[in-house]
Amino acid sequence: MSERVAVVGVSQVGYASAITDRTLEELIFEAASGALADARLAWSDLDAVVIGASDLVDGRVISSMVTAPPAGGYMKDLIAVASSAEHAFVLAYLRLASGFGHTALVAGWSKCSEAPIPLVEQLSLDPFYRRHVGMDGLVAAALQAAAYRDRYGLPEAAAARVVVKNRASGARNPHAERRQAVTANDVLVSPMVAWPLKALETPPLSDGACALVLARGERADTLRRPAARVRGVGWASETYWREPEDLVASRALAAAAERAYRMAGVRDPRREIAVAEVYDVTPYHELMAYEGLGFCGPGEGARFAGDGEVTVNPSGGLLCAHPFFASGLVRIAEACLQVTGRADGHQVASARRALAHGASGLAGQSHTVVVLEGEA
Amino acid sequence: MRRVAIVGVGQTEHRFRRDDVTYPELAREAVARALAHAGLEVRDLAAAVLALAPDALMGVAHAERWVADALGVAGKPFMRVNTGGSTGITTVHAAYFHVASGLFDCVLAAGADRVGESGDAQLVLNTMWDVLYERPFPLNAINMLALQAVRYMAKYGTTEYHMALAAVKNRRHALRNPHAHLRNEVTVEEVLASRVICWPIKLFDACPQSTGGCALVLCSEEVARRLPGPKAWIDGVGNCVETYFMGDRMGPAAEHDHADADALAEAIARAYRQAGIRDPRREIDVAELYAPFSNIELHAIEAAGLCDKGQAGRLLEKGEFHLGSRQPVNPSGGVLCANPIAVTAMVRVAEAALQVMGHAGERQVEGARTALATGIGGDHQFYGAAVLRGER
Repeated sequence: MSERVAVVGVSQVGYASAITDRTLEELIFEAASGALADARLAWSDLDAVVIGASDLVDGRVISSMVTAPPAGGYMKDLIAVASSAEHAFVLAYLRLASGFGHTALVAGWSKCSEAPIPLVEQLSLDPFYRRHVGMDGLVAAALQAAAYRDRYGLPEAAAARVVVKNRASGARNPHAERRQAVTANDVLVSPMVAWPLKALETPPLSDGACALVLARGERADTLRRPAARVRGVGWASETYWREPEDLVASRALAAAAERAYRMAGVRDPRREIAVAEVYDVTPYHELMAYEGLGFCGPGEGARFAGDGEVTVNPSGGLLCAHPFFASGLVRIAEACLQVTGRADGHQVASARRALAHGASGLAGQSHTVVVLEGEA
Repeated sequence: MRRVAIVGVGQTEHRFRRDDVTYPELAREAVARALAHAGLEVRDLAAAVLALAPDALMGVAHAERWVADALGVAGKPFMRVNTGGSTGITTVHAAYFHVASGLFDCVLAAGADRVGESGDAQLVLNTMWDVLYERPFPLNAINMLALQAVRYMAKYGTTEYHMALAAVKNRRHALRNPHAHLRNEVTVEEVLASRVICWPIKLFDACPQSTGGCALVLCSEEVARRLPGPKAWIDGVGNCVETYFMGDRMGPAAEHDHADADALAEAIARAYRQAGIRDPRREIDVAELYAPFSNIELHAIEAAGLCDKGQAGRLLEKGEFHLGSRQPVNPSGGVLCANPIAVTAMVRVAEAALQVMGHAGERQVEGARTALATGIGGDHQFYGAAVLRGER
């Protein structure tokens, strides 16, 4: 029913703790131009642009005004999505799947060095009941980590092992901000930042930009570029008032995964997905994602982490680079690189089908899952 | 390409303030009305798209998270769009792509805003400009469009009188619209004598700061055909983006003139092309055009191809574009009579849908079959358009 859609161009700029030699607009222009060049397309070939822009992270009102033109939006059919950059990808997909135009560019970014991210998260709390609590993304993530740890009696070392794995992977990814491997002991002795999370169990806040070019049907074929076919997309929101809800097993992640798998015809994700780029905002969240994505049963995350059946976060994940608002889109970009065999230094052998997972909102209110496939 | 219809329209009454409801409750009010109009329930909705413009006007960062429950989206696909003043119509476009893609049969587009509580909206809007260059000017949404008015007057020889005609027409139309915020008639003399905000824009040339919500239910043709009510088919959609710097629309190097709305004309042309409209002067029965100041309505009418550039004021003087004329513009009273920013452009689509459904009450344009709706956002930078057709 829907049109075939593929990612035919990928570009990432950064990631680093502070990029001081270029403005945000310049980072976005570099990423958008890079993605077009990667697709061997000119700006005039673009039919549409979809950007993911957060006023609060970008630090100005209707920040899409200043970011749309460097993303290639001038005189183009452009929509700015404000809930997350992975939602911008979803909308670009929907547009092409509808048969509208032949190409679309998606861009996401963050310049965290210029944004008070904890304050942004605090201000997302409603002004009547919750704002006064002063909770931010880190504290919400810590509450989830504690709930997971308590439910399954998880040893500290299990979370540390995930960090060690991702940091070892990040050391091979040229775009990672953190490119030094660490030991389990390094993780365990790092300072406590929000119980039970230790400093090395939390992501950096990075500067950087990411852009993808999508093409549909024959247009994708005629480009003769390595194409990552979009086989499944799923996204869902959870309720805002999470207190009575399960902080461990996310209904939104389950719904997003179910939709993406149904579209892609995936029945046994553990066997059918070779690589997964998941939203590891802490190692506990990576373990919870294994379970939410159906790689293993509830409480089996730590055991699954060791069995190597699905390679998870070969890029190093968020724990090695976290351009806040764009991190979900970066997961999609990395999954595309894997299935087209173009992941420099961190390529997984025979990664024909990959999954990307993004999340946003406190305690992961919103989740997105995309299934991508390379050429046979 | 799948055909998509609007099957439910909901709107709150737009007022300066609503102290009796929170933001989610206000949005829910509009959603409940749209569902009732469609004869559907929350469980029938497969996904939703939220219209919410600057977070700073709401005073809550990423308030899409807060309002999610009011839209009934827990466990469902949900995203938010923000293109400033055009957010309402780009949200409809996003919802349209949800259905047109074949992934969903029934999708909600909804939102609300409480601009009356935003303090000084112009102080907030000043921060949309470049920190070092245009912000200290200091630009705001009023003086940026006063610059347009001056340029337009210089180019086409129109006057403040022509602007006043648009204001008078829209205030008269709003008397027939129970949802409108400003519902009192004004005369040309009163408009001309009203307080100067930023010349040539005067108080009665300007929109109010409104609190209100709007919601639309979009369905696939298959599902729409099973519903008993009238449909507004979305037959054309288009967007277009101008330069960020206003200075790039003036001077010898400019590709467009700030007097005109060429990027709006391009957005509308894209929607016309999809809808197969070749002669808008004959084929468009009614237009709901986004115009927060009276001068903007003049060039919006021209961008829609309803008359030649520079002619809208003179035609208004002859009685064109009024209710009862051949091609009424803004029978709802338009943005000049209600501006709940996040949903203002969605209200344009809602009003256009009601017209082609024959549900526009006292503001109904007789026999309206094809309608145009537009939105404008940012510093006259983001433009959106939609063509709707009824079945009559």
